[in-house]
Amino acid sequence: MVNDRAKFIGIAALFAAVGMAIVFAVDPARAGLFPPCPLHRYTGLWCPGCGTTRALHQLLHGNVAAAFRFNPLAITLLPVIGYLCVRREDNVLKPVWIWTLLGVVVTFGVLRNIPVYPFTLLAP
Amino acid sequence: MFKIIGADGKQYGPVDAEQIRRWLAEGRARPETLAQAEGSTDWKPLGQFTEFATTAPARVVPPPVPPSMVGYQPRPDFPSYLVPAILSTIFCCIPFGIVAIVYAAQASSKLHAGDIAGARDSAAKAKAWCWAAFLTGLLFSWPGFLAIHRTMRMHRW
Repeated sequence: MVNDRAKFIGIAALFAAVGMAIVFAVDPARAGLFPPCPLHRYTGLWCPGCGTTRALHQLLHGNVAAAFRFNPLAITLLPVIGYLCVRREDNVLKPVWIWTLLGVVVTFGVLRNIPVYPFTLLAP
Repeated sequence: MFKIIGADGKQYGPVDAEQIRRWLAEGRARPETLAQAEGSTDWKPLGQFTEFATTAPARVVPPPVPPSMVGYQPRPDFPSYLVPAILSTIFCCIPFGIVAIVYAAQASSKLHAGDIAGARDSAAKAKAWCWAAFLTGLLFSWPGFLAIHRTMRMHRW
């Protein structure tokens, strides 16, 4: 069990390291190396995750403000995801928090598609 | 007030004498169950407490069920797939990723309500939707990759 988990963490860390190196080196806003969001490509709508790669690129370069401009939700959720991964059992969250999270993700996805001033800030 | 050690080896309480009597009557606690009176440091069987000596049932009691109280949470052996659900939502293909979060939330609600089988079922659905999101995302990214390939040829870099 412990070995399995160590192996899993090792592989996951390797993938994360390679992924971060690529996202650090290549600016997704310029080079077309990364696949575009399928939802945006076919519908023109912003999904809740649109801009995450660009945000991570900015974050890895230390530009927190720019990262927030591309996708505030993804940047805010990073520590949450990190915490859940460390605790492993994701049942540590009370149900009400998971439902809240769902509400936040859906609301964010709707709001960033409203083409009126304060909401346009949420679009990448 | 008393603390007792459940059949699972964990401490429960402090609870009042009335509660202990109820557990004794229900067979959840037995005369030989270790307990500690508040203010005292030593543990002794419930049967040796003058308060409970008379209330202990004379009949042979069934094996005790651990008192389901004070933060006793069953730890299931399956994850609720919340993290993969969030990740597949963030990294695109919303419709399926969001369905996965709904099922993960449902799994958690059911688990906290004590419905382990239902939670397992919802978690399995969350897992299936995560895979659906991941594979559809991959599939629909291919045209994107092809487009990228074309621009690469065009720009010759």
